[in-house]
Amino acid sequence: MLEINKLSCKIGEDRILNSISFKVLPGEICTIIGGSGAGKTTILRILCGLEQRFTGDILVNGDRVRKGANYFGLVPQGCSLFSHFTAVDNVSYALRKVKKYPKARAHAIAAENLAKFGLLDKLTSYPSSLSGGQKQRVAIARTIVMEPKILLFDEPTSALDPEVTRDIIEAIKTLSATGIPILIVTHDLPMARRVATHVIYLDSGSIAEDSGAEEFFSNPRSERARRFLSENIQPC
Amino acid sequence: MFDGFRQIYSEIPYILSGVGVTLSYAVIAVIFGFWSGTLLAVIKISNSCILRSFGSFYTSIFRGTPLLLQLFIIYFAIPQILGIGISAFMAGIVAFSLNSAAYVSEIIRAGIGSVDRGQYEVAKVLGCSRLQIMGDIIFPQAIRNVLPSLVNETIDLLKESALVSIIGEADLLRRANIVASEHYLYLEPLLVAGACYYTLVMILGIFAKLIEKKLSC
Repeated sequence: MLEINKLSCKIGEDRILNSISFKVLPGEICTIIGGSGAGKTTILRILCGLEQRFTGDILVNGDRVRKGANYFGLVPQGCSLFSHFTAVDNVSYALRKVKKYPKARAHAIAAENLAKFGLLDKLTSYPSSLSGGQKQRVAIARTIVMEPKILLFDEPTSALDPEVTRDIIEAIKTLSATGIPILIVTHDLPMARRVATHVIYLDSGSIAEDSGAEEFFSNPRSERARRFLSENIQPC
Repeated sequence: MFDGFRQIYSEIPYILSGVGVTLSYAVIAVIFGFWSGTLLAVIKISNSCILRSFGSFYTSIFRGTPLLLQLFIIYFAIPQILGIGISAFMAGIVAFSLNSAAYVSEIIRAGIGSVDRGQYEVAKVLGCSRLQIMGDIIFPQAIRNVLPSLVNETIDLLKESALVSIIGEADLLRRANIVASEHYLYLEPLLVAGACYYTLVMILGIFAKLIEKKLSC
């Protein structure tokens, strides 16, 4: 379980996050939505340890964390695959270097995970020869082989076509079925509606609404959320 | 002209043996220049203000003054201060390496900047150390991205090595000049030297293309 208490972030004179608190339970898929500059990505950066300028507590399964590397797995926006490595090397790299697995074992685990995502025939392909959806799946495999306790996605469907988006949603749901809490930051509201169990609407660094996905999309409580939905949602 | 070539025919092997001298300068200076340039690039992107300032100062000095002046300072002025002699070979290697380091550091710094920062962050979140990230992820891609510029720098170094002929080293150009003054014939020996430089640069270009092809993915 991920628990965030009174998380604030101020960079220079800009207050990015304003005392936000929320929980993501095991098996939950929580999406954080909001306009540009609402502070969505900053939350992920803080959780991952990429942004240190914050106050507040982050608890994973009750343990307070300061640096997120051992707890959180991040699938970044745009994948950021290591472009000089093949798919299997992208996935096995951290197993070898961080978990110190022998090459053969790391390779076998990587291949097994890529196979789960239907990429067995792409093991030796370089990122430049993979499609957007394939890259996204390699990025997910690269993250989950490290067995994070919480999985974070930053705009997982940006720049993907509807069919690939559907595949990625299925992949996220399959991962969620294993019980891992998943936090997704997105501005893709149709995707959020299809995947989320829980929605946090962030507005100017504050949580404007925190509710179940069904309730949020059918009957948002706050006026701001209602306006945001009417301005942004497309029929799905 | 053919008559001129006939006259210097027996001297051609002497000029050609300068290829080894020229190459030894270029190869040693490229190796030293590359590694010290890399170190300097890392210094320039470090978190320490003092190190960054040192990096910028170093580059400004070596880019802001002629290479020939630097060679003269190392060959003539340093022995004056330290009271010890320095061979022309050593002076050449030191001057070319230090000078090349300044240029290479800028090339590599640009290469590091060209690698998507997201990769650095992902590797960090995966738990990799800064050294692993730089060594395995960023640096190989940076080098791949700037390979054409590094090849240009190597070609420059190979040609600029001709400056050592001024301090008396018998490199390709100096040997051509010696033959020229012995026979009072300038065009032919200089053409031989020019053909050697050109061939070396072409071979280097072919090697670079092969490496580029191997690194592309």
